[in-house]
Amino acid sequence: MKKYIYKKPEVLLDTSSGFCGGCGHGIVTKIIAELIDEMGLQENGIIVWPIGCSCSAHRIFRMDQMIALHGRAPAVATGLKRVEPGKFIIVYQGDGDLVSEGMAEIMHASIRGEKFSVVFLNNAIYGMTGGQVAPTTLIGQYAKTAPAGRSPVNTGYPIGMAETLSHIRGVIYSERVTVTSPARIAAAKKAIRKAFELQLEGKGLSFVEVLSPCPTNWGMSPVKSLEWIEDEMTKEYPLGVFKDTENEVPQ
Amino acid sequence: MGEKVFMQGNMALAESAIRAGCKLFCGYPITPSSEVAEYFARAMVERPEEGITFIQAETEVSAFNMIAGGAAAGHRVMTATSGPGFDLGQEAMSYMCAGELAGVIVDIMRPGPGDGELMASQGDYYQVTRGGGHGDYRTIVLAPYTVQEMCELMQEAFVLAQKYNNPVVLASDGNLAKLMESVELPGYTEVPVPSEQRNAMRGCGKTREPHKVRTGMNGEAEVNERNLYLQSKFRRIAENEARFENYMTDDADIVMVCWGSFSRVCMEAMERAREEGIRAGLIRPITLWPFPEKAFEGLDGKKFLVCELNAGQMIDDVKLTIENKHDVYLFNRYGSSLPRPKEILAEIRKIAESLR
Amino acid sequence: MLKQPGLPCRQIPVNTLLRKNREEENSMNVVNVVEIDFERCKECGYCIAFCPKKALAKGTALNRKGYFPPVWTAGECIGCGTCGRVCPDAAITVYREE
Repeated sequence: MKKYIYKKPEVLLDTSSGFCGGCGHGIVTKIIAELIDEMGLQENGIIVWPIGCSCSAHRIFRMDQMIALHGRAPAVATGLKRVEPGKFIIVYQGDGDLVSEGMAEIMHASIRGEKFSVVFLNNAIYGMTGGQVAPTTLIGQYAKTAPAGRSPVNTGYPIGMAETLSHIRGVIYSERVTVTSPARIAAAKKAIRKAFELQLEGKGLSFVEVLSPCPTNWGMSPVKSLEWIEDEMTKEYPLGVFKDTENEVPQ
Repeated sequence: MGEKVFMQGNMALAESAIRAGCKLFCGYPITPSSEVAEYFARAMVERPEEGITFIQAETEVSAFNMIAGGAAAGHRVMTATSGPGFDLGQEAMSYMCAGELAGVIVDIMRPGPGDGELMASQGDYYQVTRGGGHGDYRTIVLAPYTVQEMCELMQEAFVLAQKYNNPVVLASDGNLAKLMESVELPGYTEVPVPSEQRNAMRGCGKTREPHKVRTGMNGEAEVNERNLYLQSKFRRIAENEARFENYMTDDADIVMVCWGSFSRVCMEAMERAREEGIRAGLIRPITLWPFPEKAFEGLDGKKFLVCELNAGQMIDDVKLTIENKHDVYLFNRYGSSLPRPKEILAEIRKIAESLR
Repeated sequence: MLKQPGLPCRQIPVNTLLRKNREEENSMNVVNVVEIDFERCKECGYCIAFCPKKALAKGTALNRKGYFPPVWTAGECIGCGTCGRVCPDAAITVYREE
């Protein structure tokens, strides 16, 4: 008799993802898939994907899904959730989508306190287009459009979205996590579960930022990229809960 | 049909949309469209039984994408804006066509380009008929000329959008938006069940095939497949949905071509011309796309006077339709106020003179 | 106390868990199995890096994607499921055969 300790979540199809080996999207989409199974979200769930590496994940999920235009996922999700408040909307975005193109959309969805969950993958680079500088790129970090390393003179300083959004009243939960070890992955899943539970309770906007490896565009092996997150990224982007309205975590 | 009222164009438009079951209005204030937004905002508060959601979005970029989301869930949705706002919505126009989403967009035109002015104009004709977004797509464009017709076409817009799973544009202008007219408001219409709409985002559960809205394409084969499919849809629309009205064209020597509220000025000019013995007629396209080619059948050899409030945009479509550049004249102004019938009459007289 | 995320929540002290496993293994012939989907693996190395018992190592057989999926040694494996949980491609299944 087989007793499963771990197997591929049921909501994931047998199709292989298009992600690079070691990609953070692989880990995070898998966490989300596990939660969809555990919390029964396939029935009423809709995933709104961004334009970015992650949107190829539509091929591996057995869910109703919409790929929004670049940056517009929070706006599309607003339309969906407002006409169908009973549906469960997962908004998934990367650096370019949320922090650049979609800055207005995420800020105003937050201001309005839209009642959906946002999972934001911060890998400090633009992945899909091949490694250009992102607003989240670290100072001195190489990128194709900052070949001498990101410089504050030209491109300003990195922005922490978990902190920034935590100052907006409509955001009721904001946490930054990462996926650099089994323990970290477990904590990330706990945070995303929290964000999902808040949506099920009719509260919003809940926001989880995930520091995530991009071995390909960082020019590192996957295991090295996990180390780079722990050593370098967490200095700029500290992990932790920045807002928890229910438990009054001070901002 | 409902009650007879004396109502402002914008408000009558909003009321007709509500009675057609529009559940989501997202927009950004911009003159001369803001009354539509305000009407929906009031309806959300004062008429909770209608179940309306009004969102004042941060920008038109966002507003248009919000209605794309609402349309994806199978609901009747709309936005209303003017030229500068419609500009910002162009990515979403391309997106909604590619994603087969039934959004309804009202463009209440005002003079441009740039920030421009606030009242009557027809300067967005190219933009609404050619599409200001990228790629090969088309949208039905409905062009009412009275508040009464605007109310009817407003309700038609939702039906057509959902019939073809394609966005529909209703072209109004600052004049029609603001004027108050006697109108018999349309009644409440039947509204299709959102969960039964094709490819609706509802949550698939374990049994239903997942629905997806995906506008990206992979490889040449998919580019061809998607575009051929869309083109065949646009052909079907072109064959079935072109609308127009002809006035005294059979025996006319000079046929005016005009649309929207401006056509009412032209009709006055036509009648005065007739009184002077000039055989004038008028074609009024009611759909700007598909352009009503049938309206021009049997009118070979006549002179056409295209009257528009722009630099001359619809005149291209007239020339293309009759395959003739030489018999087409232009009367144009750049908008804001409407010209007087006598100005157009002067133009008609000139053409009539040249025919003698 | 080690709480294993993702598993049914029974708080059991670590040393008794391992002892119970061995007892179970001795008395009931419990066998831990790790199945790796050979064609799905992209050789990221996370399973190898995080296995607490070093039961996984880089393989020498090439899959169709051009990667070397890991090989698993049954003897050391305690069936913790960490490899399954860290794999970004959901290429690993872990179960106990009782």
